[in-house]
Amino acid sequence: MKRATVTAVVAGILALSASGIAADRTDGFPDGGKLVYGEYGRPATLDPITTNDMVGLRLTELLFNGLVSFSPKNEVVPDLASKWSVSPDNRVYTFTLRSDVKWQAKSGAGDRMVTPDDVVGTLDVIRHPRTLTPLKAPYELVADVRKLDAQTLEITLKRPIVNALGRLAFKVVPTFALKAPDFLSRDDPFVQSPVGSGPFQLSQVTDEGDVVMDANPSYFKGRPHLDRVVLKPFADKNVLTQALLFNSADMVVEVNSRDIAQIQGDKRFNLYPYNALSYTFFGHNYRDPILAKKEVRQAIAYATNRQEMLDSFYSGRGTLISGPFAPGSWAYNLDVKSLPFNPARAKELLAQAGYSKLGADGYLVADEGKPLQFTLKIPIEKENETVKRVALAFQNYLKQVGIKINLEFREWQAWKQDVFVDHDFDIVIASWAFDDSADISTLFHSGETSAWRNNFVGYTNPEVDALIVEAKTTLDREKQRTVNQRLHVILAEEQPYTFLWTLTNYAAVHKKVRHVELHPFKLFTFADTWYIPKKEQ
Amino acid sequence: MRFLELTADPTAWQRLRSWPLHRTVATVYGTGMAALVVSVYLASVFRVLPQDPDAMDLGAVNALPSAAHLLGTDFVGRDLLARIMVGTAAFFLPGLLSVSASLLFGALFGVLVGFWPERFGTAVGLLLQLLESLPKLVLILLVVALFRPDIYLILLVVGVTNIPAAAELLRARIAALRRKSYIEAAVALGLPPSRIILKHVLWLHGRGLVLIQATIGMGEAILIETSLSYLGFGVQEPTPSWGNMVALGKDYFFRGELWISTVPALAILLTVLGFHLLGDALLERLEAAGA
Amino acid sequence: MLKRIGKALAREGMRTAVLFLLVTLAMFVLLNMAPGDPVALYVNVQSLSPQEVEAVRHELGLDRSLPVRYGSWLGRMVQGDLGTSLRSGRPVTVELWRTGWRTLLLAGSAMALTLLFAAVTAYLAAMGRHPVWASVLTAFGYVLSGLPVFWLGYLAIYLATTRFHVLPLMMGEGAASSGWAFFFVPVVVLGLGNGTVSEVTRHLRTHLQGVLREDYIRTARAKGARLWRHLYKDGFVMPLSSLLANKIPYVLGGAIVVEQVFNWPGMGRLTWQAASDRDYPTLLGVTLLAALIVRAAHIVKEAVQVAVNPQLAD
Repeated sequence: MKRATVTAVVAGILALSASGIAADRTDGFPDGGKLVYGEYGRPATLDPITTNDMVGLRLTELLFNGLVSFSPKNEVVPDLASKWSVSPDNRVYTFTLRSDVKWQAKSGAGDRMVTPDDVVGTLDVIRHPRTLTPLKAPYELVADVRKLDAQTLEITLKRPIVNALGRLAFKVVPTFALKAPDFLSRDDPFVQSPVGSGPFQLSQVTDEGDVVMDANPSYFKGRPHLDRVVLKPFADKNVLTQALLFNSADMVVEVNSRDIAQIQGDKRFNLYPYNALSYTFFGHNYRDPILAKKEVRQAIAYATNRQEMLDSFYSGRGTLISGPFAPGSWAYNLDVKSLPFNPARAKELLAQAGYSKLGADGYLVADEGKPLQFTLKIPIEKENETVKRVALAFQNYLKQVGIKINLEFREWQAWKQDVFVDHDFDIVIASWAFDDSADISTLFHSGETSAWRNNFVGYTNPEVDALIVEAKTTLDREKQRTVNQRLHVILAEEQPYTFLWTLTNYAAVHKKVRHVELHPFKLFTFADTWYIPKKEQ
Repeated sequence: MRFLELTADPTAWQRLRSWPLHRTVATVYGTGMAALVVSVYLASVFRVLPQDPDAMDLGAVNALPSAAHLLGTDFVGRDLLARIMVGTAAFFLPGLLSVSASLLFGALFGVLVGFWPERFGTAVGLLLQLLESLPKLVLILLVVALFRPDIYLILLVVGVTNIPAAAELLRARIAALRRKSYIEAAVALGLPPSRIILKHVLWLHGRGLVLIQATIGMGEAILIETSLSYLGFGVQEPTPSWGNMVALGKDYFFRGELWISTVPALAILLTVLGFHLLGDALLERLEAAGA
Repeated sequence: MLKRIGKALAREGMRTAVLFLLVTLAMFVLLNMAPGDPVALYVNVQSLSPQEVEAVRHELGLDRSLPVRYGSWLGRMVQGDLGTSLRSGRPVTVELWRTGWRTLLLAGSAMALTLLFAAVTAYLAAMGRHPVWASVLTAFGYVLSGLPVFWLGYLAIYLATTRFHVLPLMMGEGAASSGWAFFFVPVVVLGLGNGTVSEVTRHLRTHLQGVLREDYIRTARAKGARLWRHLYKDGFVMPLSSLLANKIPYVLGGAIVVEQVFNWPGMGRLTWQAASDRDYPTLLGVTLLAALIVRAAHIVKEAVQVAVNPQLAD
């Protein structure tokens, strides 16, 4: 839930296929049934523009559509747009919209169809200065958007980028239904009672905070099979799992790693693994003169038994990583091996860096006779049992090679201040979550080291800077891959982070729900095709 | 209840035997518990422990009691018994700090309002109601955000928010004494005001209240740290506290591994019970003796 | 006489107003001293330039000075407008209403249970007629007062799910919603587990014993009259009203935890979320409401005590 999201280019293939199926589903599966899914935490708002949390993001998949969407294989497919074309300079995209998409019944203006005006309006609202939205940054690349005629519109980008189409998957909202037609602020009732064009429409938010959504009978891809989908928010992860086990929820979006074994053994549920393209790491502050030494950072990596931690705490459900990309990413360099667990080698490296004398307390002696120690800063969260285990184990491993780790916990916002603004830390434990891509420019470029930028470790390397710029500006996909792989090699060697692992997330869904396919982090992209057999409704 | 006919000057033993059974049991248990806590605390200070409380054994996590670990292990394989012993440090001194703060200022305000209600009644009353109205847990969250999650700081905040309770008790007692003309009589007898306040009011009549507040305060210190740990804000790793141990265990509770959470919860129960019983018994004794 | 009541009301009203001012001011200052601000609710600060972040802060009015912000909040508050939640955009009054009644229901019922349990136990103990029951209940009260409230909640859920195969208090949609039938579970957990039961019991018992020794009661007993008529005012109503006022903050505090465990969408969760988000309109609104409740309890206590014992009127 609390992750720094790096939005980036979506990998995809430009699919110039026509689409358009009749309004009725022809797959022969029955209609009916209800799906109740549980999440930890509640969405602050329900519309796709102001929403700034993962819970809200997943919810909007059910209620809204974009110009384009994604297939289960993550290819770009048509959604509201039936076809598109690109100008030769790769900057102007022309979309032709379908003519059969209606806004959901509550829009208060009868049967209104989705038109290019709505798309233009949505982008204008996103870019309006008074709209506070996390989408401003990813959509700043749009220079202009114009309606061409009743069916077509044109989006002009400031500069050509690879896979722009995937970047233009924003959800379209009916701007005529907003309180103020050109910007969206949180006091607009729309953010709590949104209207979209998607497979489900908001029916009500109950007193308990459940978000009830009913099937949209005039959905352009055909009425979804499920009658009703309900989001049930929880404040306690353990109670959430209990709700699944005791029939108060049919689905849990992310199962606790310690409960996976139990649910796997429970015949009522299917577990669906999905890889959210994120990874966990220890970040080392280059501003500390000792951590600035490569031998010390490498020693830390050799001293940490990551496989043991992964096996012990997560039952091995994840992959160790060797570099700055998630292993599922196209940019990951499979040839680079991660530094193995080798405490002897760690001690050698520390000796090379000048730390070989052990003090009376068992720790290596550093400058001025004090022990070689670092502070690991951890944000306080209510449900952070696994982070604590990892931190404690880390402390233990480093003790074996003579490094003292002091654990320091800070309240979440105070932690962010320390890490992102004051850079007052030695080591932190954190995760990055990627929106499916390999844009690590903000993490390691030397220009991103000031306050609130993502390169909070203060890493600077001119070679890496040049490579990053190259990867970002090239339009050649293969070139990008090669450059990223080179980056992987360098960063694996330099260890600005101790790269830990990517965990496999699991969603648990009751067996009665069939034809379930999940998008890696948005989850409900294909929910309109799910169904429940008649007997089990 | 057993009563003995008391002669004019009962000996200490006779006075003790005249106590009702429940008070005897309570006092014995309470004193015993307090003694146990103090000795465990001292043992942990001098590191007289069965195992290293920080030694992890990733191969034996969440283990039930065995020869090696008398009370089992926690989620990274650390010995629970050792951690329970060291856990006394998380409430012993901080709790005393908390209680001292609330009693000191509580006594001050109570005396001010009790003796001079016209002059101080409104201002102090408002201040006390202010302290009472601020939501404790939110205050602690903000203080922790501002500084750091330090148990002394947290319990100091708790102590400050308890000032109104202590002040009110004292004020009510002083008002009762005034109604009975006790204080008037003392003044008429020519006793200096400071002596009246210190000896007669605070010592003779106030010490019972002090005791009861102290025991309740120590109990509350432990329990509120547990609630904070549930919310994430109590004593932080790797320092053990009974509260954070119960909170850690919650993640294994529903799977049937109740042990990790229940052992520290029982420690809390036995200790808080001891505090409450001791305080109540002593208070009864004081009241019975006409304090 | 009316004039006296009028003067008393005016005085109390004045005090209440000053109290509200001080409480909200204290909370506001503390909130702004803590690091972090609500901007993180809206945008991903790391992906914006400093100017863009400033623009966001300006849009939210966060770039005004503290006195101006507080003053503007205060100005609208006296007109009944508590602002809008920075998190949800709903008016704070709506948020308080939606969640407040739930917490009041839970905390009120819990408080009532605490007082009821304590009253029954104290009565039995003081009268001395059913010593076994008195001892059992007293012991039970002591044990409950020594257990952490969230642990009791977990225990209750564990028992309910493993013994009775039902998850308490799951409302609304869901195949096996237990609904209001299980509302008693969190009430029992909060009512008996908030840590004050033994103290309240002891207080009441001592008080009752004292009252029983009073001459007018002994006279009534000697006369064979029914004790209750004489006993209830001094013996119960007085101390109960005072205890109610004093213990409400504990129950409200315990509610924050119980609401999370039982997924009860009350003010406790709202408060915790608002403090973490630095959602200051919501937090100030909650503080105001909490102060109001405490103040109301005190006024009720004083009114009750004066009604019962007119000698106490100043």
